[in-house]
Amino acid sequence: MTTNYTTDGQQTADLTAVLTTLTQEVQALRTEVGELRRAKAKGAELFDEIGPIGKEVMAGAMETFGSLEKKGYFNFGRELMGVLDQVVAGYTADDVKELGENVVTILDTVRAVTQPGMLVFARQAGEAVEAGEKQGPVGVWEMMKASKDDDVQHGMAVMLSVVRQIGRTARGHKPSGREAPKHPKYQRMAGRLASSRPRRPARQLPHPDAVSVNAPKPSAAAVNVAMASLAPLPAPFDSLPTDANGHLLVSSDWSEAYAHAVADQVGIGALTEAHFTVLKFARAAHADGGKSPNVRALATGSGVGTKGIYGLFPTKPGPTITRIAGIPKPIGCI
Amino acid sequence: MATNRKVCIIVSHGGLDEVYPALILANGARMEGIDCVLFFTFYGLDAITEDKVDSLHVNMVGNPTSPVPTILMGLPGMETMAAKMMQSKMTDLDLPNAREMLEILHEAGAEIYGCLLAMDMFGRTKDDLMPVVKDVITVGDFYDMSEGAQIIFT
Repeated sequence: MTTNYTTDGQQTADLTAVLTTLTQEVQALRTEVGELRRAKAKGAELFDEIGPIGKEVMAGAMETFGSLEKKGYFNFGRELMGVLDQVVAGYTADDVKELGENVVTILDTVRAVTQPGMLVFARQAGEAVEAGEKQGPVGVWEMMKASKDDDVQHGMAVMLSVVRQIGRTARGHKPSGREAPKHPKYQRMAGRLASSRPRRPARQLPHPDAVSVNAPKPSAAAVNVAMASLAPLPAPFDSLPTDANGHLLVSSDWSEAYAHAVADQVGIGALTEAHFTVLKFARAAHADGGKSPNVRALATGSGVGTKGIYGLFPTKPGPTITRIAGIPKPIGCI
Repeated sequence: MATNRKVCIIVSHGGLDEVYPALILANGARMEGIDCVLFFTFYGLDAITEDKVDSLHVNMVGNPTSPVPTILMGLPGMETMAAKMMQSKMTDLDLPNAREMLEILHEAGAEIYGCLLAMDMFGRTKDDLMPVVKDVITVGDFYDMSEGAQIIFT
């Protein structure tokens, strides 16, 4: 029991402590609630004060928007959005990226174009166009006369410079070396222009003649097809050294028998005295000057004449006569 | 070794330097055993006209390879002088003159023809031409005889 009592006494003490604390808390709470109430009252006052101002502001804003609407700002904005839509739809991300890369160039160009000098020039150009329209059409002669004018000459120089630049750009910008752009800015611009539009390399068509011109020349053995079609000379003449055309290399190897053999081979048949007149003259001329006589020399020198030569040796008289005569082929055009 | 190759050479100009290449070509063809026909028309006709063949001139006016300025070449007598100079150079090289060349060609078996239209135009008859001329023919005849041949226009 004592224990219980003790316990009870303890409990009462505890309870008292709790109540005391609670009372204190409640008082603090009441203080705070009072504060809040006051604050709320103040807030209400503030709201009461702000309210009319806010209304004024709203009314003003609405009025402003209304006047803006009237003035067409919103329509403008809507249209602008439409334009932006089209821009987004019409350009890919890559295009925009490229634009970003070239923006310096674009800005440079815009700045250059908007320099006062350029703007004055543009205005004056407009005036000049009007003046030109008043003047009427002009022929080539008038143009030539006008080219004596100093201003026209200067203008032509400028035009040529512009045309040159256009040509250079169209060519993919390879400066001719004579007039390489000096300023680094222009080189940068030029580089961008060249890289933005890669040029297709020109197709290299083989020249139709290239093959035949560059082809190795046929070997000496293949040169004279006519020789190959002939029957070989009888022994012992077949073993005599000759060039590709069958002319004796050593003219002292020649004999009348050899002449008969060759004449047989080329289809002239039996050699007559007239034939030998020509052959002997040819051999003498060769021994004399070291050069084989041409057809004209054979005709006049031997005394048989051109007609005689062609009568005795109908086909290829020059090569045929000299071959039968055991001397080299004549060189020359007559 | 007979060949059936054939060339037909049309000579349409009468300058010494314009006639010679054709004559050399023709002569070369004969020397190589190639059949050859020469067809002289328009001013080329002068080369086979009896009283003109020995006085063929060289036209140096407007010739960019002329050693003398064109403005001087237009003076009287300059053409004759140029022709004489060229002819003497050719003689040095043992080149026969035009008349001789034609005779050589005739003897070598080349056939020489005049153009009927040009003859009528210049008012010439067959008697005005050199004896080496075989006949006066029309363009149709020329094509008939040049069948299968190579045609060279000078």
